[in-house]
Amino acid sequence: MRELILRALALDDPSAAFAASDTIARLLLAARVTLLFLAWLGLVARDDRAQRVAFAIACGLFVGSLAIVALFVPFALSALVVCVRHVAVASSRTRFASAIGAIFAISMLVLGSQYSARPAPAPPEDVAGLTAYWLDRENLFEARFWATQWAGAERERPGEGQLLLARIDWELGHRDAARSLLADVVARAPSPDARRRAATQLATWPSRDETR
Amino acid sequence: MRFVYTVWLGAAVAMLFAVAWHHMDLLGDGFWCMAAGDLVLSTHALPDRDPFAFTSTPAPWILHMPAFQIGSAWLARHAGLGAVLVVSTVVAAIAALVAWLPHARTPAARVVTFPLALYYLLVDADDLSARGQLFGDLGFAVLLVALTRMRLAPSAVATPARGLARARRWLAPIALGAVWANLHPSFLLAVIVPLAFAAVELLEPRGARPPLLPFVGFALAALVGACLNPYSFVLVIDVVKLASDPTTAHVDLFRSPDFHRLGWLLAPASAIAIVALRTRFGDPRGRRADVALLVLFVAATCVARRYGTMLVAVELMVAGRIASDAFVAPAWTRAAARPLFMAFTVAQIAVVAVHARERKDPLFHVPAEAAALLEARNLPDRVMNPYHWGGYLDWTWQGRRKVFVDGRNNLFANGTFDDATRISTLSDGWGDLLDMYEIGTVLWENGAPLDRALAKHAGWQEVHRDRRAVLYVRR
Repeated sequence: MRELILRALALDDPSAAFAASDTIARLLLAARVTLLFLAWLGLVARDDRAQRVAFAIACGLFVGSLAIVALFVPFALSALVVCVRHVAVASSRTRFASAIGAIFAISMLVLGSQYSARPAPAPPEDVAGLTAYWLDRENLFEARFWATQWAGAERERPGEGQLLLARIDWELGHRDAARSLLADVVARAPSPDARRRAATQLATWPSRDETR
Repeated sequence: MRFVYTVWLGAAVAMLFAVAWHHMDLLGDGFWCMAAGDLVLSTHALPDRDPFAFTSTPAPWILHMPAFQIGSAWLARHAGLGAVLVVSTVVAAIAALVAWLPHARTPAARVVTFPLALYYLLVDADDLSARGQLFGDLGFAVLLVALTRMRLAPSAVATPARGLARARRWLAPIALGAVWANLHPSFLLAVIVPLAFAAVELLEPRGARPPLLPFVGFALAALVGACLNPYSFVLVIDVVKLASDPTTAHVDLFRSPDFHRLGWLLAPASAIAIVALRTRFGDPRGRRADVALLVLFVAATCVARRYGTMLVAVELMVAGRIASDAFVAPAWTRAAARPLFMAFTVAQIAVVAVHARERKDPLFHVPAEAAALLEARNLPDRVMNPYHWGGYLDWTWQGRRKVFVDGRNNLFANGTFDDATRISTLSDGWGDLLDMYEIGTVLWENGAPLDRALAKHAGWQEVHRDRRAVLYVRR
């Protein structure tokens, strides 16, 4: 809430142009268009000279607040003036229409902001998790970067990291490096299961002559 | 007088074509579309894996605009890239005409809304290029015409139709959905916008609102039509995924416009002016719905500049109707109408004459020389390239050399898209990223931050520089 108020006041960069770059900006946009629509309903309900002037000022400030975000608060206040003057004379039907309009505008914008803000899952912090994370995201280069660190950490006792690095190297075309990694696992891994899997994998890959 | 008006209208239409031609370019998106189309034409099959990039996800690759991709590739093969520019110009201008003329029905309405029709082409002129989006804009303009008819002729729509009329009522949205889905992923608007029209009509008093079911029926029929493509409903699902992909929100087109530029500020300003006019002028029926639509599209434009053109189309729809219903030319203009029309016509013909003579180089914005040299000198593989040049490299290399990234952002949602941004903005660790992706050659923009950084980097050596691009290889 504090962040929302600070952003509405635009104290950090008052002359910046509006940009719907995050959820708060989108919420402020929702507030803008909702207030504008409510102000218009206020104008329709009470179409006198003073209301028209107030609405014209609100419109000018709405457009201005897109170019200079610091004008958001003056816009909001001017739109509220139009709305308050409207509420003073509104029938229940126009109040109902205003409420529907407000809910409609807000829901469309909030839904829109949620729709386009689906973030990628946060990466884990350990190298094994990071390797799996990038493999899951199908980025072999990032996966190789973390698998290399994982394999480096188990240099004395080759195991899963080296097996995975060999698989990624093979996929990326580093065939010789992949073979030597697996050969190292076969020769030195303390785990019989890792040795067996490395040997099986090595047997399934075509030999250097065959790949040529 | 009618003759003078007809000449003016002809000159106005010609001016829209001329302005579209003046701003039309061939950029990355158009090229990767043609690259994909070329692949289909060569193999006589739809591709299932991406053959153009070395970093893209190995997930199945779906052509999101199959007819445009294959059609533009065919056109480029048989008539050259210039023909692609010409056809794109015609499509852009027709979209402007469809957005303008059906709504502004009287001569006076057409005269006063013509600047808005011109602005329709200019609002995002920097991005006006030969790509499927032009067909998306045309589809949206056609959609607005169809929905306006449904709003204004509720009795005709509500009356049970028989035979051909009934078939046409269903076939029209199906055809629109089918054609649009094969030309551009924005076909989802043919489903969403009718529902939005129905929703805003709820703001109208019960007796004044048109029946809402036809709007829902239109949306459903358009959805059925959208499934008439080589991938059937799979394309629809994939496009929904594309729209919600995090990388899409980071594409320049789907970010807020720069409201410090007057050209962009004019879009919401003109919408607000039309809101004010709508309060006092035009048929009271549909007033709240019109204003709600304008406000919604203003909001959409504030979120993504992609919707700027659509906002102006909605403005043309509302302003055209206001002007047709309510605008009566002031008496003094009637006396001066003939010389005014003639003056406007002469000015418009002058604009046409200037722009029609322009010669276009379809390769003006792309690194044609550097890309050819990279292949000719057999520079190392795994080429780092800017996002907006990837499409051209896809097209010119045809998969012989693979690119780092291109405009098909959803194929690079595996982190590559973000890494491309980090490298181009020289964020922390950009050099490590070049190592991580095993980049052998950097093909980049002459004078860009990465160019300046690599020029000072001990690990990289410049091998080529032209007016547009530079090439670096590892030392």
